[in-house]
Amino acid sequence: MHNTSFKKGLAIFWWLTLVFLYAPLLVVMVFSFNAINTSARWGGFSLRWYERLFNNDVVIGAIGHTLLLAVISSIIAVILGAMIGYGLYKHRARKLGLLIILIYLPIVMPDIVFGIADMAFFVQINRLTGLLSPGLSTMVIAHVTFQIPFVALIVYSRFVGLDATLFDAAKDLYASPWQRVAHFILPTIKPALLSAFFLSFTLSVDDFVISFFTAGPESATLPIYIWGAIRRGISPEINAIATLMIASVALVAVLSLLFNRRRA
Amino acid sequence: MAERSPTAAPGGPFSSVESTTGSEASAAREASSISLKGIRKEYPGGVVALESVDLNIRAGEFFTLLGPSGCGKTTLLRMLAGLDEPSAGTLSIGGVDVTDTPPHKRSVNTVFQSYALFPHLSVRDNIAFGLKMRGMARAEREQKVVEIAEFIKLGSLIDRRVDQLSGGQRQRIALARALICEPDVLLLDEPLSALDAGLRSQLQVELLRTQKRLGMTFVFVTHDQEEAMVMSDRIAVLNDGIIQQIGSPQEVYERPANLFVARFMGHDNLFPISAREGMTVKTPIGTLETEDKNEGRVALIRPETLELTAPGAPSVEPGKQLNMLMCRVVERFYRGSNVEYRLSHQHGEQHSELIAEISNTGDRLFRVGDEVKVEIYPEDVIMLSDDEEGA
Repeated sequence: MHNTSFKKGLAIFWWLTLVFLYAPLLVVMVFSFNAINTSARWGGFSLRWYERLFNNDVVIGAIGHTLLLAVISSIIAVILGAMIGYGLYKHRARKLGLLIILIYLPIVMPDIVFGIADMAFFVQINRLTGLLSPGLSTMVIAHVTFQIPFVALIVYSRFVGLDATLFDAAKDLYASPWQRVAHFILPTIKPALLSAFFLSFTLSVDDFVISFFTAGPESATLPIYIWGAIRRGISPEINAIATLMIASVALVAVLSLLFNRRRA
Repeated sequence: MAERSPTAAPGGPFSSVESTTGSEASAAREASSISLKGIRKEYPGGVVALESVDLNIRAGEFFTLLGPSGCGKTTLLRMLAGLDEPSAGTLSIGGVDVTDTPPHKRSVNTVFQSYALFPHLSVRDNIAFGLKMRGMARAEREQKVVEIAEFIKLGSLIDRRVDQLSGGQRQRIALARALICEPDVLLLDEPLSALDAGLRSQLQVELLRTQKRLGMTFVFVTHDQEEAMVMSDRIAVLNDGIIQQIGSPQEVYERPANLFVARFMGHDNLFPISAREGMTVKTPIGTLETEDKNEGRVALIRPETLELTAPGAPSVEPGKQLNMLMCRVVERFYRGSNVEYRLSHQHGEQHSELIAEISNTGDRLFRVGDEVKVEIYPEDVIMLSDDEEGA
């Protein structure tokens, strides 16, 4: 008896969690199709906000910046992060406690601290050298720094899950160092690389704080545009952007899961 | 460098098997000898895995490194593969010094304990991996895979996925993957230890026949003394990074060099010697005649050499002076083909236990509590040094 009421209690928690997770998203999605200019009541179905969105060059530009930033930074982060992940694995016998803390740091550090620090840093470099004026390049560098630890950890855990003798077997079967990379290491960690890429991609698309501090006037991403637009009030147009972002992030997350599952 | 040309002569050792006998097939290839001189391995932190090992393995030999875990046998094998570097000493294969040759440039292949099949590749691609790395063309590779599959009798396994294979099947794929490269030396790191007993003895026979048919030098690592004896031409027994004894299975089993080897080969009836006078030694079970001229601190009497008869019976060999003692049966273990008796013996104040293993030829069995006469041939009383390093 006690047991069933306990289970019921757990079930309530579960449903409450789901409601608070997904109901807000649902509200945004529903009101993005609202015919009238308010989120307070329903005025019928319409696609007019989407239409207006796609006629807005600033929005289209922001979407373009967001995707470009996400793709470039994710590719760089996967390459560098995979090398760190391999290094962590290869030298796991040594005492690498400090290095692991260094890699974890961006994960636990508040974004705002990183954002402000990045901005100050890039401004100094720009003042001294004229390089790295705020824009896509500074944003890519900033994004790569926070994506790398996630990539490194995904790749590292893939290596840890491998039979270590496989490395010996590749050497034993006449594979030179480069052949081992091409015919053993890369194919073996390919699923991990793909899921690391998708995770980096979503992290990049999702990021507002760090992007905000490192962006230039010409490189505003979608989150930055939304933040700017929201100061003029929440319009159904914002709801439409949010809905598109929800859909694309969900798609990438599902892809990432699928690739990750296939590696077993 | 001992590297072999990737394009071997047409009709390699595997293709010829169908039409020729084993002896012709083995004559087709030249096996390689192995020579280790002063091989030492010391890990950072001062752990010594191998203490100055000298070893010569003959061409075409089935050679086994036998010892308990941590004795250095796997380290030695990994050095032959090039996966571990010796801290000192030289290693040559087929007369060529390969001490500094990296593993991918050595004509040596390994069957690993975990089999180490690549999970991202099919069975076919796993088998062909070594050939591909050496740059053999696809068509030729595929031909070789078909030949080896025939040779190892892989049948339909070749089309399975790696994760669909059982332990025994993985073992055979791993063997095929190593053999297809036609190495100078094949290394096997406890390849049967993960398998159950029945499959294990079946694969022991298969492995042995494969080796004889190819005439290839095999270096086999195991901790199982019975497996070592069944398979090997010669055995090296290792302990604490030191070779205790090298010899044929018969030599190692019947004439263990010291107490460690005797214990590791599973021998019971080890009695300390308190004094020796000529060919007689004083032990806790009495004064024994021996024919062993070697000095020793311990006498070994292998359980299967004991002769058991009823107390009043005549000697098993009346013309000969045998050691004789009276014992009582304490326990009996019936094993079908043989019977093990645990015997107690009283010599003055000294109480001892002996073990006798009598092959079951249908004679009447003794019962627990029976008094028995134990006779021991002097040549079966073997002297052992208890200094385990004095091999």
